[in-house]
Amino acid sequence: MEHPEIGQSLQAAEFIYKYLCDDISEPEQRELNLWKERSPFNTSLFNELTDPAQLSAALRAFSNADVRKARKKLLHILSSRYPMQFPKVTIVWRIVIILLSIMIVGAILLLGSILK
Amino acid sequence: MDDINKQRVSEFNRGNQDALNAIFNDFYRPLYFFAQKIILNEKEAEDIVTETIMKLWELRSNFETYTKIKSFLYITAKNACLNYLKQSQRVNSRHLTYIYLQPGHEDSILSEITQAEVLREIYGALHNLPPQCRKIMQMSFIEGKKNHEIAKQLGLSLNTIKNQKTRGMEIMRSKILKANLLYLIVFYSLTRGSSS
Repeated sequence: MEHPEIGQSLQAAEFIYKYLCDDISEPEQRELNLWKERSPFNTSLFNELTDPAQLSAALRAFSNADVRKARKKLLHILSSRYPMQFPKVTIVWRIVIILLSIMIVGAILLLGSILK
Repeated sequence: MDDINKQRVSEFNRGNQDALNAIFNDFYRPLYFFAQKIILNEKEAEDIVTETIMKLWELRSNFETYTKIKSFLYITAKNACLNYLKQSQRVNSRHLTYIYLQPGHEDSILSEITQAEVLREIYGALHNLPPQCRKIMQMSFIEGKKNHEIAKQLGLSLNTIKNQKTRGMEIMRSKILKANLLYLIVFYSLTRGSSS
């Protein structure tokens, strides 16, 4: 799956992050400038990411995702599609169930011997 | 970081669930942010990202590097978003047109990917701070809260908040972030905290 344009977008992201960290080399800065000039969307994005208020707003939106709920949903789908790899009953619960079963059987046997 | 990612990829290839969890933690937010911006529908964006990660899991043995995983995730999410828009356009109205489906708007989609990736990096850097420091920096920088609001919410003194913010800046200066990003954070924190 070769998609050079995605590769360029990801590389631009790396350069912008390096720029923000003041860690960008001269060749990388040249590449970043070329990327900015390539499209008005790129120029506008760069300006947005280097503006404190806009960056903060974007980070706020970025952090809004409900990751916990999404993880639960993913695990639910995985456990229904791959029940052997993603069992719904975790190992801890398996141990608890086994121990409880042993205790119940033991209690019944003990009760039986007392009643005799 | 490269070594960690290399190890993560090899564990992921072998079907390790912790590696899947780590990839999920790393990419759920940026993919959701990206999908939500394209299709403007939270529920569908959630479904698209979940399906994208499911596809990644199904093809887990095919990826040699973390970059390939990253590219796959964005390409798959992008295609799913465009399919959703095309379908939605067909169902809702023949006259309804979506900007991202217009010819020549490929660049705008690509710049959304770039934005999601930059935010992922910054968010990750903030998350590398010690817990209390991170909480305070997040409340200040991401949630836009003022110092006295943070102090009240966390039950800490105003001085502790100021000290923790200074500590956060120092850690970021020494370890993770430097000049420009630090400037942005300092600038924003000062403007938010000035009225406290």
